[in-house]
Amino acid sequence: MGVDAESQFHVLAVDDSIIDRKLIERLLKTSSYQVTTVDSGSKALEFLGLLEDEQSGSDSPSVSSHAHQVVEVNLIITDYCMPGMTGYDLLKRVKESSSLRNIPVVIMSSENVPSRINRCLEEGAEEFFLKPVRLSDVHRLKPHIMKTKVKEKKRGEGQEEEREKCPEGEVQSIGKQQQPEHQSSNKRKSMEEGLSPDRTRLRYSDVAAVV
Amino acid sequence: MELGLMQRRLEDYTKSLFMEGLLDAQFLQLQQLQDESNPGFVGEVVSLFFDDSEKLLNELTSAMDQQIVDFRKVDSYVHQFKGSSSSIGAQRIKNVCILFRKYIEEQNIEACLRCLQQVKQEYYHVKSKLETLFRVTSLLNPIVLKENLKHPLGTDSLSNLCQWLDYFANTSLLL
Repeated sequence: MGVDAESQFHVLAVDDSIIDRKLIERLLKTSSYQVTTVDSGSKALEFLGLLEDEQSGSDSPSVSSHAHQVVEVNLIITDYCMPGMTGYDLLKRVKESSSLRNIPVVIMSSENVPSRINRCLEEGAEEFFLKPVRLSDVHRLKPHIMKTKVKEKKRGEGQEEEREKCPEGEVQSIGKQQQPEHQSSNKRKSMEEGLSPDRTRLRYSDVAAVV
Repeated sequence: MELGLMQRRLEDYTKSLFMEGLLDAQFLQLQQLQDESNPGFVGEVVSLFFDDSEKLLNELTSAMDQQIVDFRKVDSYVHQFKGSSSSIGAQRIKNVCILFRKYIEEQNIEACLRCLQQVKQEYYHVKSKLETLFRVTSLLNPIVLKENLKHPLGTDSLSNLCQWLDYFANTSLLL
């Protein structure tokens, strides 16, 4: 590591639908992100190196108990409705983890349910995308990743990069405070306006479909 | 030029799918994500959709067939189908799913069975249209085209193709 990490951000996408995984992967790759897709919350946690603490298993494959985040993940984007662990559950687990809580999390859902959106935002989700997700949505991810990168850089300069050792208080003060004020206008968008206004529906006369 | 005409016919055919409400803007999004580096993207997604949908429809049929219908299960399947059809822009399927879910909530078995019928019809309808679309598109692919021209039938096959496209546009039959 230590190479130009800015150039390649890694996004972990979680969705139980194979079609949606394919779609989100393409959307993200088109926007030059490195992508890993998994089909469940538990697989996501496993990938993030979180699960193996709780597993009695020596079944746990590659991740060693000290090397959390063998691969760095810069953003998690997850579907809300999934069997077993929902996107909300995953969000909670990530935000409760001292090693992972700084990773920005975005929730996707096919249903525009204000109470659901609120819950997620309050739990620390950066954004809530309505499905089907579009390129314009993916363009909104960068600021969240950059914000974290800046934070991490500052922390790295001041102290040890050992996330596990960071006292809870300190991490919290960096992470949580700034969110509510700054972001509320963006986040509320999908709730108040239903579909975002920039999602103009194309008229049939605009169709010059070159397949 | 034969090719230009074919290209136009193909565009008209695609347009008609939008006009009929079979496809919505999401399908255009898929097309926009396709490029030289990913030339088969739309076809791949649609192919996944077909596989996934057949499975879902089988599960759905079986679930609706039970003595005592497990509505939560049925709802879960319909929710999935609504999601996947919405993701590829299959508007009519999505709309039937929305209606379907309403009847599931009401636990109205009769109406649910009707919706199941309808959703199947819509699925096979759009499937046939999309398959035609992809088949003709692949024939228009320049490389494939060159191969056709090398073939003894040469330009004959191109004009046949035009007539064939007309035929399918009108009758929506599979090859």
